[in-house]
Amino acid sequence: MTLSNILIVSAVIFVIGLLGTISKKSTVLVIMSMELMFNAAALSFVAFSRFAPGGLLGVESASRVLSGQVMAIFIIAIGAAEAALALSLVIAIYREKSSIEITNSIDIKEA
Amino acid sequence: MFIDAIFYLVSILLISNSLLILFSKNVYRSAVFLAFSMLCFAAMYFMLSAEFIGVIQILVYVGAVSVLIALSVMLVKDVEKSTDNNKLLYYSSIVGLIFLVLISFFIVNFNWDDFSNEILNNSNCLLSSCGADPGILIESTNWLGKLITTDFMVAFQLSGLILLASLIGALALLRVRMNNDSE
Repeated sequence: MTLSNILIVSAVIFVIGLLGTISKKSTVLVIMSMELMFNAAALSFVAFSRFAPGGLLGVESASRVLSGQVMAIFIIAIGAAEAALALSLVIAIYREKSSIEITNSIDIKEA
Repeated sequence: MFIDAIFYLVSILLISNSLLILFSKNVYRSAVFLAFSMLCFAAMYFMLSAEFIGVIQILVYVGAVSVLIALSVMLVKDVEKSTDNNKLLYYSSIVGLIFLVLISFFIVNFNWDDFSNEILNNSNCLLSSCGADPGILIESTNWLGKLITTDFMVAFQLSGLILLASLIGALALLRVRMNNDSE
């Protein structure tokens, strides 16, 4: 388990999420793929934090070693906020259009 | 080694669950596979000795976001036909493969040891315990709390503000629709 292995796993998950975001018609699947991309980024942050040079955690080294984990916490918070807002938007679009295809949601602003 | 075997097992599970999100025929099953893939992410975090992040991942993603997605799949009705691809599938797979090959080439060929030594030389590390080895993450949750409440205080409060704004935004979107329905 080296840094390169984890980064490659993270890149594969990111590409899977990118593919789903571009190529799916359903809005719910696009949101799921975006969650995958968020988590791939958070995984690479945590991997960098694990393999950062540090030694025993102290006042000098905690900020350098653990900043990646703090970024992962922020990514999780932003991902949860984004999921709640986007799913409420999906339900709003579905009430207006009776469909959740992403091409139907172009004129949502006048509704 | 044992941890390597576990790592490869979790990686295979993670990638296959993520692919099954895209290629299963039912959106509800995709939500279940998303929950499994988030569990695999949490297992990754536990193996990277980031226990707090793993627990938060299970609480937020497996407990809240997957349930939210499953509930919204239940609320919208066209479950069967909504896993279709649009016509950008082939272009996006070509673009994704090119991106994956480029970034894997960079990851494999980059010299991470020199990079971490350079970080170590440029940081204000005064104690002799700040070695070049990876950090020994004892009491990492304790240090994480101290770090969030000192260095990242503004970002922490701003993320709380973002959560509040998304809550208000979600409620406002649905409230307007309910008024339109009752008219």
